[in-house]
Amino acid sequence: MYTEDLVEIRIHGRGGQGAVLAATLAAEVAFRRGFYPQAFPFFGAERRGAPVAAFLRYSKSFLMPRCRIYEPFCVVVFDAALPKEVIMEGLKKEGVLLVNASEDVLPAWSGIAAGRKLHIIDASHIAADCGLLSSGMPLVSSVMLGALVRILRLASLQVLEETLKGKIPQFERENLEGARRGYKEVKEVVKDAIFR
Amino acid sequence: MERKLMNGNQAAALAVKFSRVQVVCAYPITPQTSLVENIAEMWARGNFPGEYVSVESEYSAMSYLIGASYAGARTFTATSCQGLAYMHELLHWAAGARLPIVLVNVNRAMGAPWSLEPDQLDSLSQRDTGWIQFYCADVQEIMDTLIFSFRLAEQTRIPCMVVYDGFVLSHTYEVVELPIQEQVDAFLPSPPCSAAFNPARPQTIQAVTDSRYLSPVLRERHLSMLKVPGAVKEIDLEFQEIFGRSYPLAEATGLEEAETVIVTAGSLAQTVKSFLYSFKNGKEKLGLLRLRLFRPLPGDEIVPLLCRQGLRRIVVIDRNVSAGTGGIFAQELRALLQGTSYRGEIYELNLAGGVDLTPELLNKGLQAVSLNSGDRGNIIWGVDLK
Repeated sequence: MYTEDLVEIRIHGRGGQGAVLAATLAAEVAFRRGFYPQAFPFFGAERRGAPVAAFLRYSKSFLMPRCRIYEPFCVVVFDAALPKEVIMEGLKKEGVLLVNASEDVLPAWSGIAAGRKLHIIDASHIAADCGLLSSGMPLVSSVMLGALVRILRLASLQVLEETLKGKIPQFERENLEGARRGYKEVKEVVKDAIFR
Repeated sequence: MERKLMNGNQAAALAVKFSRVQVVCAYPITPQTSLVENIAEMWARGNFPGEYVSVESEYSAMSYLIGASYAGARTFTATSCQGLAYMHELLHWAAGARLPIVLVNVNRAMGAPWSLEPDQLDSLSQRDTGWIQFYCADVQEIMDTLIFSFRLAEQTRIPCMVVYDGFVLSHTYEVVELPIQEQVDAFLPSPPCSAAFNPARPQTIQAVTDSRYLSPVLRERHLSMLKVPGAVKEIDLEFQEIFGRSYPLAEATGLEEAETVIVTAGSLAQTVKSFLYSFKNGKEKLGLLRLRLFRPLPGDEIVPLLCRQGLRRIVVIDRNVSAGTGGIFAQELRALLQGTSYRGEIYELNLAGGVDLTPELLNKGLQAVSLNSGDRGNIIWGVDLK
């Protein structure tokens, strides 16, 4: 677990991908681990397919700022096609990047990460594998959540599964499988090499 | 007690259910929408025992509740910005007729131009309607204040508005301790209050009158409002006994030693508070006064806190502006301190239009204050400090 007092995370996705749901469920996991979480969406109207952001901050203390998050410690990318300037905005130099991408785009993302810790997970593929599809679009939310909980060392797989049970509005079995695989299959990239 | 993660709108919807509200009538508007959606869904699933009535406008919503409240029902509505303004005429009516209606307003900037930012001008524009107003700082406080407000409104026969910041609280999920139904039942009276309408005794109410009768009625309304802070304190003791939480009229943090006091309302206070704790090593001693009960403004509580030797500056943070005058909380505070022993300066840090208060912006604001010559009415605009 990172020892910083306050952890701030920003999730980039598209309307309908479940970025807000992932932030909320990650908040549930943080709460279960004794943190005070705040999870909130981008302030504005949300449209299916349009770029959206969701936020999560948690701390051992209830006394946290209530502003939006401008310099996140961690950025999570549901859709790797989103503009890189938007994704990287304000991400701390010692920060962490988690991207839904396959291994063949590694060199490009290593460059974008510019020295920050980079984690990748082929969430679109895994989601499709688990049957998490809506009109052909993979629903990557639970896979990315599993990966996020793992890279933050926020909780064990068991705690993650316990937390999610009963909290997923639809396709619970498929989403639990997605979260499990996200947790297990997320990889850290160091100098273009993958550590499992 | 069960603790659950939920956002401000969900907490408000649950508080309405716990309070056994009999008539809810509302029209959806961002960022209030999910609040009424939650109630409508509970109602549609048979989990909400009251009536949920859909209407075509906020004007109709308040009209409907005025009727229901005349008949003695416990009533609730929720709205935001233009929707609240559309109710304006009827807000006066509800207060004048002494109908204990409870309303949630989720702060959102008034158009034009259209915006979703959490500016406070919508609710502050209604300060003279005769409604009680509370400004909430977190999601737990939304749930508690709403339950509290039904009791307060019905006891004082003054309608009550519970206000919280759009998105910052309405859409932010955090941990809330849920009451159990028996606690709420023990706290709230049943039935809510006597009806003005009684078919067995037909009468005309609120008939045309002249100043001989009107002036005493208005004086009575004023005097009743002045008794609200006392009633809040009294009811809070009972609230604390039942629920284990207590809320002040105005929340003071570090005021005993402060040289500079920041005065603000709503969720902005929590950012200031977290800043205060991280700023402890700084040279200047800072304090915070969070205005919670805004109408009536509890002067007897606030003035002694600020008339203290050693307090040199007050910085009021407003997320609203009354064009041509300045921040409304600042204006209220100046009026309150007029003629008291306070001799320090009053500065305004203005975040009108929903400017986000980060710890960095607050720090810059305080630096600007310390460089400022202290001219009254000299507003420091947050948007310039970004």
